[in-house]
Amino acid sequence: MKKATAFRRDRVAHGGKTIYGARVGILMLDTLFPRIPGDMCNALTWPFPVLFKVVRGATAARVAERSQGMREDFMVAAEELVAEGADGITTNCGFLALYQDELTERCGVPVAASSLMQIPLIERLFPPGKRAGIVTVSTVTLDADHLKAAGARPDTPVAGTENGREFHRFMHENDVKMDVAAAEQDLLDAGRDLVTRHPEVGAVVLECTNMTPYARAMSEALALPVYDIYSFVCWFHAGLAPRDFGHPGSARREWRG
Amino acid sequence: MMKGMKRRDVEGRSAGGGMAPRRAFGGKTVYGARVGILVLDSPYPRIPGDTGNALTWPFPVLYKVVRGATASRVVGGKAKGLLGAFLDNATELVEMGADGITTSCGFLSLYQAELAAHCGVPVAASSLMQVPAVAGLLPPGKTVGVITVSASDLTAEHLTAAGAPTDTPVVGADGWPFLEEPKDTRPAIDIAHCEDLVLNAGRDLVARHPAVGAVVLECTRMVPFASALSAETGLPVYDIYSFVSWFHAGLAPRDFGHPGSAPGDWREL
Repeated sequence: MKKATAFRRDRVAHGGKTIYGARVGILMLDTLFPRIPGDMCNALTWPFPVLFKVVRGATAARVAERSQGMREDFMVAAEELVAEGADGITTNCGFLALYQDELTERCGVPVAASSLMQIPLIERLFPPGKRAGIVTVSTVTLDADHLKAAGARPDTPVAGTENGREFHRFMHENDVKMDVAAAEQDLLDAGRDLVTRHPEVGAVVLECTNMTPYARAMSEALALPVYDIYSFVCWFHAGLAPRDFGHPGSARREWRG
Repeated sequence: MMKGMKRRDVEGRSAGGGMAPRRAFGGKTVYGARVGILVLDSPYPRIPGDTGNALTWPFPVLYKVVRGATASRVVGGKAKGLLGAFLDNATELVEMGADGITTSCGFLSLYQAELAAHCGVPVAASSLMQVPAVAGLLPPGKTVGVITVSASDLTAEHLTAAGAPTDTPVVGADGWPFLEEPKDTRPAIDIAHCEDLVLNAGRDLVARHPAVGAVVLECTRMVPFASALSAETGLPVYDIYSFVSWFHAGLAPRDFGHPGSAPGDWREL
């Protein structure tokens, strides 16, 4: 009898939100271009479930021009994701480092707004003199404000795809068709440009969440580590939902979503 | 089929398809295990979740035991006299095939700078290096708290070497059995007791420091209890598992397959 009572106490489940098991909520720009596996907004990319929310009217162009009217739409969407069940918030655009502080304030949950936030940690892996370098969709858009908001130094080496053949084009035009091989070439060109101009670069950070499918190819082409929104959000999630390694480390306990 | 291949060749976009060369490049001895782990010299059990249990990792790793580097020498003795041994063993791991180096003890933040300068590959010596990154995720007014095997031994020097603020709230799991000199060649550990120590430390941390919004576990033996601690405190918990998984994600970015890394069209309904 005593044993049975203890067993039941170990099996209490606690609620308080609507959806469980998807700990990370992703705020998405309003786009129609293809999002292939590896892209943050292809659900197959993630080895764990996530919640998506499209911020209607949030076009890439409006993000680039820092439209103020859009800001509140992102905050409201983030609050909705948390109410639904997200225990952490991220976004599908590296430039939204600008929203990091306001998002944490409004949501009350941890926020990993931009891949660029990994830069200080990456630089600690190397001896002094080795740097992290950024590959961004557009060096015209990326400025000192984004870097500062992400905790990165203003002189962080940067290369962009804006003069390439495809990667910048399909996003800028919101084209429903893209040439994946050509986009990959743009990324590799930008990576080579980065390390040629900045031989001190010891690891690359991809600003844009559409770049993840090519991280592997870039790492092999440059023989350097490459960090992106995938590495960042997998790390983020590892803390939000630490893995249960089973016996003997874990015993029956109460359950919380 | 032939027509498709020809088109790709003409456009120069057959990244690895049809006629592309299939050379493989060498230069080291072992391949596929990108992270090398320097492990302390300890006979205590390392259960799943522990850095020193190979089943912990969702990718292959290389291990090297640093003989003479006991937990008491590294934690209580600030690893004095062991730097040369750590550097030599790290070099051996890199020569064997490691493209990044980590360790099995959070107190080895002390050797981060020396290891990084010596190895020529990226180094993620201590879980504590995550403290500033985790702090960056939190709402204003919230801070990161640390749980360690010994609060009295974790000095400002260890925190500074990890890039963590010296006023970081720290609580020790007092009585952590792995620090004792083993009396046996196959010593036994009560794992439930270890979990209690970690959960008690967590309760203590949030009671004494209500501003703590996330926890970082210093000790690589605490990973098996991270899930229980997160459930108990309602807080995110970062540890050497989250750190090295992230480290590895950059060393060996995942290949997502078609169409990102192969020729051909792609559509989804």
